[in-house]
Parts: sequence; C-alpha cells; structure tokens
Amino acid sequence: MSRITRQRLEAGDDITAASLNDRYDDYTQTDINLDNVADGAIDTAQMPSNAVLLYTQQDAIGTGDITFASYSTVNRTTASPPAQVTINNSEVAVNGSTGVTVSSGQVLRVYASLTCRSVPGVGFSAHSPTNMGVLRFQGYSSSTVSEVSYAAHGWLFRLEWDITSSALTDWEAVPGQGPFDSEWRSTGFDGEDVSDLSGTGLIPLCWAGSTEWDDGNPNLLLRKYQNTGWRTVTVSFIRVGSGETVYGVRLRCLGLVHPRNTASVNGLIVDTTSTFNGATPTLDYGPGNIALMHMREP
Amino acid sequence: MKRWTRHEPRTDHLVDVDQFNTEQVAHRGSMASLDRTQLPPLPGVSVFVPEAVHDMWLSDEDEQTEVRGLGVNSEQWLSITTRNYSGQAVECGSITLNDHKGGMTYVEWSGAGYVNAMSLLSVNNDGTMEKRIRLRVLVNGIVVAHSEGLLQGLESFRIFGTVFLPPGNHTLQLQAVGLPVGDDDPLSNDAGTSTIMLYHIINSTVFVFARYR
Repeated sequence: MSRITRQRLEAGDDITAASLNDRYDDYTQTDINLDNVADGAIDTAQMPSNAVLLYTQQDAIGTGDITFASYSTVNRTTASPPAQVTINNSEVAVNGSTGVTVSSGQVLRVYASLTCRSVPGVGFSAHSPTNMGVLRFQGYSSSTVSEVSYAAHGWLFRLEWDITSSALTDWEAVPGQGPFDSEWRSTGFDGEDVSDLSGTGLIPLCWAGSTEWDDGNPNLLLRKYQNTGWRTVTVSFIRVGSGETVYGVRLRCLGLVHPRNTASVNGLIVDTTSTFNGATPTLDYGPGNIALMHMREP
Repeated sequence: MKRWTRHEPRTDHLVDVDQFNTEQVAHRGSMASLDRTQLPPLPGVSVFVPEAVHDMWLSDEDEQTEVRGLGVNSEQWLSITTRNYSGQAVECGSITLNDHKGGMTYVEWSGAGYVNAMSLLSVNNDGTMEKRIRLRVLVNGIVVAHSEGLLQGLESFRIFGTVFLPPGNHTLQLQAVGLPVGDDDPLSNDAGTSTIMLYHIINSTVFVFARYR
C-alpha cells in the first residue's frame, strides 16, 4: 500500500529542510496506484483477466435437438422412495477431473435448462374424484356435485453435485435442497419442505379446470384439461463457497409432485396415489444445457 | 523528472510551511492531469485488489408469507387464497444493497410458484376471470425487471434486469401481483369449510451483481 498519508503542514508545525524534501518525495509516479488515483482512471485493460470470473463452463445435456426428432421419456413414479431419473448427458465433470474449489469469498453459480413437455397420457382425467388436488363444488341443483381439479401437479427437476470424488460416484443434493427420498412429516408421502428446494425447477402436468362457471358454480360435464406443450424448465443454484471442491453436477427428474401442508408447514410431496382415470403420465425431454460460473465475491 | 519549481529547501536554510504547500499545490495540477500513458503499465495483484471494482449480494428469500391463508385443505399450500386477496402487490422478499459504490447492476430473481386458473372459462366471460401473476424486481421503488404471467400451474421462473445505480445503500424488493378474484370464481369448496389456493411463490433466491466504474 502506498497511499500518501502525511498530513498537510500547518502554521506552527516543526519543519526542516529534510522533512520538506521527504514530503516532496512522497509524490512519485511509481507510487501511483488504485489508492491515490481515482477509480475512474483504472481501465478494464488494467484489471487482471480473472478479477471477477474465475472459471466458466457450459455443456449440452438432454437428448436430440430442437427439432424434437428424438427425445427421451421419464415415467411417473409410484414407488417409495420415488424413482428418480438422471437426464441424459447431464452428469457433467467440472473442469475435467480437477474440479473447482469454491473458497470462502467466492461464489458458484449453476444454471440448467431443459426443453420438455408433460404428456398426461391416454384416458387422462385431472378431475377423477380420487386424484389429489380435486375440489368438490355444489351445483345449482342440490343433487349435483362437481369435482374440479385445480391443476397443481408438476414434474420436479433437481440439481445434484459431487464434491467427494472426481470419479463422479458420490452424488448428493446441493445444499439447501432435500433429496425427496423419505417420508415428509408423517403424511405418508415422500417429500420436502418448500424451504428445502434450492437448485430445483418445476413444470406443470397440465392446465385443468371447468368451463361455464357461473357465480362460483361449475356446470357438470364441462371439465377440461389442456396439455402445456413443449417448454423450458429453468433451474438455478447460487452459493457462497465454504472450501468445497465441485467435481461434477447433474440434473435429475421425478414426478409427479403436488403441494401439501401439515402443521402450518408447506411442503412438496410425491403423489403416488392419484390414478388420473387409469392414465400413465410421462415427461418427454429434448435438449438443454448446464452452465457453471465460478466468481469472486468481495 | 520532478523538480522543485519554487523554493527548494537547503540544509540550514530557514523554511516556512508555504514553501512546501505552494509547491504541492503547483504539482497537484500535474498530478491530476496524468493520463494512462503515465500510469504504471498494470498495477500488480498486490496493489490492485481484483474485488475492488465489483460487488455481489445473494439472499435466499424462501416462500412468500405476507399473504398466507390458513383455510385451505391439506392438499394445498398456505398461500394467497380466494378469500384473502384483493390484487395488491405481495412482498416476496427484500434486501438492502449496502455500500453500493455506483455502477451497472444486474439483478436476478429465481424461484417457483403456482397459479390457479381452474375457473378461467366462465359464463360471464367479461375479462375478470383471467388468472396470472406479475413478478417484478424493484430497486428503490423503481421496477427494473418485470414479467407478466410467467407461471402456469406449478412452475419455476427466473427473471432478470439491469439498472445503473448511484453510490449508496439501495433497497431491493421482490413483488408478486396477481389478478384479483373474478366475478365467477368460487370462494370455497362446496362444504364452505375451506378456501381455495389461488397464488403462491416459493423458493425465491435473489442475486445481485454490481460492476463499479
């Protein structure tokens, strides 16, 4: 540090020729640096190339291209713990086999995107009375009751990392995310608190509802659902480092998930009971990518 | 080469304070007029701290709790419901960008949410039945990122924007603004004992990156 710290001379100060010359010598071009030249005089060319970004990487994942001539399919799980599928080509080695060590004072940003579509399946009904997420409404006639889905089912994508082995054999949920492999709060369903969803993404199963609503009453037999079509799910994970070395990241998928609450806690659970009128919902996915940025955090 | 231009002090000469101060004032002009060619070619890492020209803020804001209806059944979230919401902006998180030194600033809000559009198609289809939620990031009350109706059912999102900020402490807010309950929306299920989940925002994370200049 070469900041010039001598105070201005004031009347009455004890001064000599030598001290004045010392003070004068403080001002040299070789001492000019960020501290005694305005920030604005420092240009981009004078910054180290890694002043902000330490490492970046991007990898294509998924299946095929955006023509969707080929794609992969994920089946809905009814198992406990739920079956989880690793997206094709998504087990990405970070920085070869070296990994990236994210120290305190540094940030890791991981972004994943994937084109996918939900396929409810042949014979699908969102409104089956035994489905999760169906409400019963009294019609104008006291003898009629309509069950209507509010379409809260979705497919869940989870980002995992390996911070143990460069062989990529020790995958685990990223911090702040639950693994969805155990019962959630004695509800009989596997799941996690919604506060444990870091590094996850969701897309809907479908839109569902009923036409001809009139002052809060649905008309019978006009219940509908609509496919959501191809869309892109987005997953992001940002974390201040604590010295871990990240050897790899990967994207996993499972479904169907549904909102739930118990004891004033909101959760996301894996619905294994809804039958959807005998249909087997699936998820198709095409191409996507995973991008990773390792940055300095001041 | 730098030289005294006024009164260079010699050993045992009488000196006074203005002998230096006038010299320094004379030199300030030339110091201030230094251009890049006079600077060292590149401040070394020991001098130039790489973190000097940027800053970051990262915060996990979790789910919104400002509007949290308790009357829903167990298959819904405690959330904005058909009975507790009139269309106002709902706070989903707020942070302060402390000691921002001024410069271009990137803001990013990621999360997930739910929109209930089950009664979208109604008899009295007069435009009141549309259901969508606007997501916006405000800095000092000014919208810097905005998305209209991003969610369909249960879905994740990420919105981002940039703004040039002056030095200071800035307030950043995450807000969700849903369209209000419409004329034909049911307010509860047929038993009338529970209300209905309308909107919710979960898993909010806000990331801010500022580049100082």
